[in-house]
Amino acid sequence: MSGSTTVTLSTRIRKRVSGGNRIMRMLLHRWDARVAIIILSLLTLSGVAPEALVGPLQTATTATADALLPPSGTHLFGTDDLGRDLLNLTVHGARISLVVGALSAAITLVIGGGIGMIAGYRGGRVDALLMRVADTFLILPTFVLALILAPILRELIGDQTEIFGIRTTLLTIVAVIGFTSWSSTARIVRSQTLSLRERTFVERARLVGLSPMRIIARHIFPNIRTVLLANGIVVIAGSILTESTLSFIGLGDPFQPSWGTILGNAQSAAAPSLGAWWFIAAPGCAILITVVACTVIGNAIDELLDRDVRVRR
Amino acid sequence: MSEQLRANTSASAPLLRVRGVSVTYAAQRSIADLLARRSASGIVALDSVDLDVNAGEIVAVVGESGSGKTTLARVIAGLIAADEGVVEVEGEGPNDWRSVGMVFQDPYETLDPKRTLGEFIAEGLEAQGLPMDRVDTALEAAELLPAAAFRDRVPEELSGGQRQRVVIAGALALNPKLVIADEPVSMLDVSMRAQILALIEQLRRDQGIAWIFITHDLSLAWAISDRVVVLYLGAVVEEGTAEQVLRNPAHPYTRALLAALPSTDPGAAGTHSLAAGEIPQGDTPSGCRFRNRCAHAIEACALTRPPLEVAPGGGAEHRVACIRAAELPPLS
Amino acid sequence: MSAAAGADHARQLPEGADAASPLLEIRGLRVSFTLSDGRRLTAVDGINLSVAPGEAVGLAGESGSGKSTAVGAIMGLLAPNGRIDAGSIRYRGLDLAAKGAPLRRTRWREIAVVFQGSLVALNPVIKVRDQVAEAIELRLGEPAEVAQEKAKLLLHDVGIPEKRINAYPHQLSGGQRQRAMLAVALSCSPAVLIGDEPTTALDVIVQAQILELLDRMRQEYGLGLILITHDLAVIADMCDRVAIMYAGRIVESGSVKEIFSAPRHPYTQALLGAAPDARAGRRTIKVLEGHPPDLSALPPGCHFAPRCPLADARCREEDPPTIEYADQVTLACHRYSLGDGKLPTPIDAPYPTLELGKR
Repeated sequence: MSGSTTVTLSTRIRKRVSGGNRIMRMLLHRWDARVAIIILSLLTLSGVAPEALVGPLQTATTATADALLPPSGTHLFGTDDLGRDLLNLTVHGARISLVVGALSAAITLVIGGGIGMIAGYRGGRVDALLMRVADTFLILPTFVLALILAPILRELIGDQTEIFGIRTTLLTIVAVIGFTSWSSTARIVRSQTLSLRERTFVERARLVGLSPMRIIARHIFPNIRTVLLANGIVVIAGSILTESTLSFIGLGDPFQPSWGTILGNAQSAAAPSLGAWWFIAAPGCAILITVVACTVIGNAIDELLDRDVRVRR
Repeated sequence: MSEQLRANTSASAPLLRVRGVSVTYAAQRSIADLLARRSASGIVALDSVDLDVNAGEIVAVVGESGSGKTTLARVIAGLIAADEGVVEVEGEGPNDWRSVGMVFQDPYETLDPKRTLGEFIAEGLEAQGLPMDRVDTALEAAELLPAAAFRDRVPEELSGGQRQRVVIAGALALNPKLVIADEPVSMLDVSMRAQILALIEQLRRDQGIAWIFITHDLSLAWAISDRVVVLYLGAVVEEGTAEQVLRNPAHPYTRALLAALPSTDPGAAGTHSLAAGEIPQGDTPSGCRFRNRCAHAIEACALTRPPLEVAPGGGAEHRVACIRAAELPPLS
Repeated sequence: MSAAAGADHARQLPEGADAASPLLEIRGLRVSFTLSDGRRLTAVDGINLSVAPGEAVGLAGESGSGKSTAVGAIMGLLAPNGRIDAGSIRYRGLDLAAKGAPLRRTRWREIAVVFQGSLVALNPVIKVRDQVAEAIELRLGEPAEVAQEKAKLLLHDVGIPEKRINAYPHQLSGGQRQRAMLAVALSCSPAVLIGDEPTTALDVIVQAQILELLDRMRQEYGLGLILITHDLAVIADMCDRVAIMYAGRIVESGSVKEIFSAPRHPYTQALLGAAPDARAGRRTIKVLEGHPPDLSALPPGCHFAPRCPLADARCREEDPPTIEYADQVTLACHRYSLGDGKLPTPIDAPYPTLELGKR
C-alpha cells in the first residue's frame, strides 16, 4: 500500500518540538507576554548577578550619599534614610524575591502536583482522604499562618544558620508559603487528572498492563505539565507578595533586604509623611511590575492551553 | 479449573466463551429515593449475554447506542468486571492480556498526543516483558511502511486512518488471538474505512486473528463478519450468520435497523423508520424489551421475556428472541 | 395548523433582494485561510452551487474537502483568519459575499443551519420552547405571547411530544434534541435550510426519522435544502441533485439519479464503491489508497491525481477544467472531453477491489 509515500507528500516531517519551546514560541506571538518575559528576564538577571548591574550591596556603613535624596542623575531612584542608593537596594532585593518565589513555587508544585495526580488517578477513598487534607490547608489563611509560624520557626532554627547561602529566616518564609499554597494546585491538578483518566489512551495503557505509577509518569504528567507551569508562575507572584508583606511587618531578614524590607524601612522612617515618595515607589513598583508580569504570563499560558484544547479536533 | 473442563476447551471449544454475562451500573440515589428510603435503581447494561467466537472468526456485534455493545467489549477486554457470568479466553479468565487486544473508536483519543508512535507500541511490550523488536514488526503488519519512518512520529502528524493503523499495530504487537474493535471506522473518512476493513480482513486471513467487530452500521457488519449478533437494551435479540441475519432478518428490531439504512443503490427503496421512538434510557420494559417501539407487538409480548430460539425457516445457527417471528410479514 | 408558523408569514425580502432572482446561487466562490506561519491555504476553490425552492441539493465530500467552509462562507461564520477571495453568494440576487453584505441577523432569518452537535447548539439552561420563542421574538419581532404560541406549534410540528415541550435540552433524547434544533432553525420561516451533517451523530433508526422529518419540512415549507454530509447514501435518499467535493473543488455534479447510476469522475466512483451496502447486498468494496490531501501543500494539476488510477502526466500538471454537459452535469476530469456536449460514457477507474466476507 502506498501509505508511506503519500505521507511524505502530505505531512511535512517535523522535528518533534518539545513542549517548552512551543509554549515559548507561542508566548512570543503576544505583545503582553513579550513585555512580561522581558521584565522577568531583567528580574532574573538582577537576582543572579546584582553586583554586575549596581555593584555590591550598600549597607549603613558603605552608604556614601546623603539621606533621603530624591531621584537624580546619580541616584536614579533616590536614596533611603541611611543614604543608601535605592536602585542598588531594589536590584539586590530582586534576589530574595526570586529565591522565595521560585522555591515556594517548587514546593507547591511538587506537593500539590503529586497529591493532585495521585488523588485524581486513584480516586475513591484515597482521593477523598487527600482532598479533605487539601481542604484543611485551603482554609488556612497563608498570611496568618506565616505570621504565626515565621517567628516560631526562627526561634527553633535560629536566624544565623545558612543553608546553601540562604539564611534560614528566608527558608522559613519559603516553607510556610509552600506548605500553605499547595492545596489549590492539588485541586487543579486533580481535576485535570480526573478528566485525563477517562481518556482512551489511559484506558488503553491500563488494558496492556501498565502500572498506575507508570501511567501517571507517562501519560498524566506530560499532559498536565503546561497546567503546572501556568499555575507555578501564578504561585510565584503570590509568594513574592506574601514575602513582601511578611518582610514589611518585620518578619523578614534585616541583613538581606527584600522589597518588603525596604518598604518596611520606608514605613518606619516615616517616608510618607516626609514626602519621600521615591522611598516607597522604588520597591513598590518593583513588586507591582513583577507580580503583574507573572500573572500576565500565567494567564497567557492558560489561554494558549484553552486554545490548544479547542483546536485539537 | 477441572481437568475435564480443560479437556473440553482444547479441541472444539470456542476461542472466546461468554456465558450469562450481566452488568448493572449503579445509578446515583436521587433525593427522592433517599426520602422514600429506596435503594438506587441500577441501570442494566447487559442482561445474561452469551457469545462464542471461534479462532479466526469475525463476529459483528450490532446495536444502537445504549444497546450495551460497548459494555460487552469492555467486559471481554477485562476493563470492567461482570456482575454475573463467565468470560473465558481459551478456557481461562481474561487475565492473560496478550490474547485479547482492543481497538477503540476514536483514534484521536487512543494515542497520547505527547508520545511517539514507537513509545505507544513499546508500552504494551514493556508491560508484558516482550522484546522491543516487535515494534517494527507490528508497524509493518499494520502496513505503516517503512516502520522506521513512523517510529518517531507523534500522532499529530498522522491522518485519522493512519492513527487507527497505529492503534491496530499496538494491539498486534502483543500477539493477540482475539481483537475487539469498538466502532473502529466510524470516525474515519469513507475512503479510509475501506483501507482499515481491508487490513482487518487481511490480518484475519494471514495471522488467523479473530475479531469482534462492534458497530451500529449494518452494512459494515454484513460485509466484514461471518456471524452477526444483534443487541438491544443489553440482550441478544437475534444472531446467526451474516447472510441469515441480514438477508433474512427475523426480529422486528433487526428489520427496523435494515429498513432505516440509506443506500446508494439506485434500485433500493428509500429509508423507512419502521420503529417508533428511541432506545428508552430509564427502565427496561417488561416482557420483550422492544415491544414499546415494535409495530407487531401484541399483549403477550408484555408478559414474558422471549427466549432465543431457532428462527422460523432458518438454519440452526439463526436464532431470534421474538414470539411473533413466525407471523411477521415478508420484508419488502 | 401545522405549517402555519411558516406559511402565513408573508416573506419580506431584505433590502436589495428581489423575488425574481434565483433563491441561492453561489458562483466561483473561493475561500482561503491565513495560517499562523503566514502561508495561505485555499479551502474552497471556485465552487458553483445553487438551490431552488423545494429542491434538495447534496454537497458531499470527506474531511478537508471544504464542504463545511462553504457553509461558513454562506452564513458569515468564517474564522477570523478566513476570507472570501473571489466569487459571489447571491440570495435572491443579493450578494452575501460582497463588502457591506447584510448583517448576520438578516442573513440568519433567510437561511437557517442545523449542525451536527445539537447539544452544544442549544442553551442547556433554557427550556426548548423558550429558546424557539426567543428566536421568533428576536428575529421576527413578534410579541411574546404570539411567539410562545408559534413555538408550541412548531415543536409539535417537528414531533416533540406535548409533555416534552417545556423540557430542558438535557432532558431530551438525542433525536428529540435534533428535532428541537430543527424547530429553532425553522422558527424564522427561512427560505433556505442548510443541514451540516445533521444526522451524523445519531443512530440509524433515529437518523431515518430525522431524514423523514427534514424531507417533510422541505415539502411543507417549500424550503431550499442544502444537505452537507460525508454519507453518500443519505444524499441518495434525500436529494435531487448532488455535488461531490475534493480538496476544495467540485469534481462532479448533476442529478442524483444520473451521478449515482453512472458516476464518471474517478473520485465519485471510489466514494460510491468504498462502503459496503447491506441493502443492495454488495460486499465488494473499492479501496482508495493514500490520504486526503494536505490543503497547505496541494499537488499541482488535478488534486486527485496522486490517488487516481487513471491519472497521466497531464493530470499531474494541468488543472482540469470544469466542463458542463447536458442535463446540468458538470465534470472536472482530463479523461473526459466535451465532445458533442452529450453525457460521455463513464470510464471505469481500475481501483483495487476487496471482496469482504469471502472465506
